[in-house]
Amino acid sequence: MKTINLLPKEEKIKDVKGIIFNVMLVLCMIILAVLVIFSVFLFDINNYLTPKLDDYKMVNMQIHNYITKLQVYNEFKEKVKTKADIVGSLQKEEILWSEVLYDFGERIPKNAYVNYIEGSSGSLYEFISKTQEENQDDVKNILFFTAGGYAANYTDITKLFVEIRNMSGIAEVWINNISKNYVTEPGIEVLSFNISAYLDIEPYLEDLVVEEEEETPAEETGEEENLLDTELESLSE
Amino acid sequence: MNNKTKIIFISAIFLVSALLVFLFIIPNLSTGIRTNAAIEKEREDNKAFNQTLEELLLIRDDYYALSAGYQKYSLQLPSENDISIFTNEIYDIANYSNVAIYSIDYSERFDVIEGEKKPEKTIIEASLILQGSYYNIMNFIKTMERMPRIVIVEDIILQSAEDDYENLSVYITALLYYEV
Repeated sequence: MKTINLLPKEEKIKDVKGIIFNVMLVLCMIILAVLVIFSVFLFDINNYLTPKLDDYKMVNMQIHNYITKLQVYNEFKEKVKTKADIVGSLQKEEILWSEVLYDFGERIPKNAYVNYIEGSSGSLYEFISKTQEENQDDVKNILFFTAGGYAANYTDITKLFVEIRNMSGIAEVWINNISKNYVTEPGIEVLSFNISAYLDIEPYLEDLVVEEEEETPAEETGEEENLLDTELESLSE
Repeated sequence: MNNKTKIIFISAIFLVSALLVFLFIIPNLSTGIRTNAAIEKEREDNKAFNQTLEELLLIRDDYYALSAGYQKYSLQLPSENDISIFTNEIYDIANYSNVAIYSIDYSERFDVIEGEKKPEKTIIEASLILQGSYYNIMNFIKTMERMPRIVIVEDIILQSAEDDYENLSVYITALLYYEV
C-alpha cells in the first residue's frame, strides 16, 4: 500500500548577511596581515638603508678630506703645465741665428764678400702672435735678412742669389741694388750689392691650422667603475 | 559568532589597518624613498670623488718627475728677472768665445694685446754691442742661444769695419723672459 505525505517540505533558512560579514572579516584579516608584513619589510629596509647612507657619507667625507690634501699636487701640476706651455710656445718657432748665419756663410761664393748683414726675426714672431688672434691673409712674405757686400763679377752676385734662395725657410730673394764701386786699397773695380731675403710663412700658417684642429675638445671617456664597495670594505676592515 | 561581533571585529581591523598605514607605513615609505635618493646622490658623489682621487694620486706619484720638470722650466723661464745672473753668464760666454762686449742695455718690453688677459710672462730686451772675428762671433751667438735660460735673438746686425775686415761689429737684440 502506498503512503502519500502531503505535508510541506522543511525550508532551509540561508543567513546571507552572516556570509557577507564572514567574507569581509576574512578579507580585512588578509589586508591587515599584508600590511603588517609590508610594515616589517619597510622597517627592515629603513634599518638597512640608514646605516648604509651614514657609511656612504663618512666615506665621502674621508675621500673629500683626502682630495683637499692632494689638491696641492694638482695646483703644482698646473703651475708646471703653465710654465711648460710658455716655454714650449717660446721655443717652438724660435729662429736660431747662429745656424742661419753659419749656413749663409757656407753659401757665399768664392769671389763675393759680404760686409753687412742685418737680420730680424721680430716680424715673424709678431706675425705668429697676431695670426693666433686674427687672420693675416694680406701678409705674403716677411723680411728675414738683408746682406750687402762686394763681388768681382755679376755672376758671383747671381750665384749668391741662388744660394740664398736655396736656404731653408726662404721664400723669396730680392736684389735691391747692384752698383759699380771702386775699392781704393787694392785698387780694383768691384760690384757692390744689396740683397734681401724673405721668409716663407706657409709652414708657420700650416702649423697654426694644425694647432687649431688639435684644440678641439676630446671625447668624454666612459663611466668608471664604482669603487665605493671597496672603500666600504676597507673601512669595515 | 553573531553578526554584531563580526562588525566590531571588522571595524577594529579597519581601524588598526588605517592607523598602520597613516602612522607607520606612509612615514616610513617616504623616509625610505628619501634615504634611497640620498644614497644615490652620495654614490654619484663618490664616483666623482674617486675619479678625482685617482687622478690626484697619479699626480702625486709623478711628483718627483713634475718637480724635476719645474726645476728645468724655472731655469728656462725664471720667476724673477735675474738680470744679474744673465749678465754674469753673458760675460763668461764672451770671455770663452774671445769676443769683446762694448755695451749691454736692458729694458722691459710690454707687448699688450687688446682684450688679452693678464700676461703670463714679462719680456726683457737686451741690446748688446760686440766686436770679434766671424767665427768667435758665431760661437758667441750659438752659446748664447743655448743658454739654460731662454734667450731669443730677435735682431742681429753684423758689420765689418772699413779698416779691419777681420773684426766684425755686431749689434744684437735678444729677448729674455720671466714668469709674472
